[in-house]
Order: sequence, then structure tokens, then C-alpha cells
Amino acid sequence: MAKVFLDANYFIGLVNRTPKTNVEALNKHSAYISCLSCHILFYVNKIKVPDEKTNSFINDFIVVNLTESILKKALGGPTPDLEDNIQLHSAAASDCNVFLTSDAKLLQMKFFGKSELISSLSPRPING
Amino acid sequence: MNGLYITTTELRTKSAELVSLLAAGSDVNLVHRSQIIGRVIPKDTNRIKTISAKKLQRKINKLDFPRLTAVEIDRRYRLAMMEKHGQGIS
Repeated sequence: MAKVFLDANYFIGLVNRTPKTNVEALNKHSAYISCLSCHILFYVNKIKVPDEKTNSFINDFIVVNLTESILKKALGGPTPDLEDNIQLHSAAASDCNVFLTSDAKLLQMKFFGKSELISSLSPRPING
Repeated sequence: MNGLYITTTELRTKSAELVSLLAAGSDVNLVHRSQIIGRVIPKDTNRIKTISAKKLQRKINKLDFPRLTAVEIDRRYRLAMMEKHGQGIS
């Protein structure tokens, strides 16, 4: 069982069935998201609050709080994109082993702290 | 916060109580020279949710949101922000 952080694009890609997202690969792992990703999900899909089915979907994930500490770190980098930085620092704050994203620029980083940046979870065992 | 506190002096003599409170999920304010200087919070080790892929897939199927590419997701989000906050937001 590993601690997997889902970047916003991957998280939303799951529910909007974007190619290359894989629900099965998450089986038995702990899946983390930034609370910022929920905001994006709602606007992309024009969801009105309250929505029981969406709430139930979100409830399967561990939501990382967007704190002042994470924001301050994100304001300093490591990329020029604040939202990406918030996602990265949220993963670090949660001690996630893996950061799942489809963002090509982020994937070039390969690692952020102890999180390995990858685009898909393979069947290989993940340490953690 | 629920009003619990421990002084820096008491850290030496009441660490067992602090551990019990943290294990029970309470936050504890840290007081030094009559001022609250920080907060000791429990590490969130008990809340370990794991994904059941079958259950999650059922929820995704029930939601039945449109199939979108990453580019379309990005476009929809930008449009939504422009609608909400006006032109000029990119």
C-alpha cells in the first residue's frame, strides 16, 4: 500500500474518464488530493452544491488541507505555476511516495522531495 | 481549539499527559511566559483510507460525467473562471 497523490488533472481525469487515467491502478493504495482540486472539479463539470454523488466520490480520497504553510512554500516555487506548486507541496506535506500527473513539465522533475512524479501506476510494488 | 494547554516548563514533567491527549486526537496549545507560542497537534496516522477500485468505479459510473481530454478539462476550467470572474482571467 502506498500513499499516492493525485494531481488535479489526474483526479479530474478519473471522473471524466480521460485517456491514460486508471482507476484499477489505485486499488488498495491511499489516494490523496489537494482541496484545490475539488474546486476545479466542480467548475469543470458545472456541479452545483450540494451534490451527494460528487461528495461520495470525493470521500474516497484523503483531502490535504490548503494551509498558509503550503501556500507560502508554493509562492516560492519550484515551478512558475502556483497551482502546480500547491499540488507538489501538498504531496510533500502528506509524505506521499508517488505524485500522479499527466503534466509533461512536472514529469520532467522526476522527484519532488520523496514523491516520485509519474504518469501511471504500474503493477510493480511501490515502496511504502 | 478546545482550550487545552501545556507550558514549556510542564513539557518536562507532564509529557505523559501530552502524549495521551495527542493520542486521543486533541490539539494542545503551547504556552511560554504566559503567551501561547504554538500548538502541538496529533500526527494523522489513524485516518488511513484506501481505495477500493470497484467501489470508486461504480461511483464514477453513477456520476456519468462527460469524457474529456486534458485539453478540454483545461478549456472548461478557463471558461468557467472567465464567466465567474470576468474577462482577462487566463
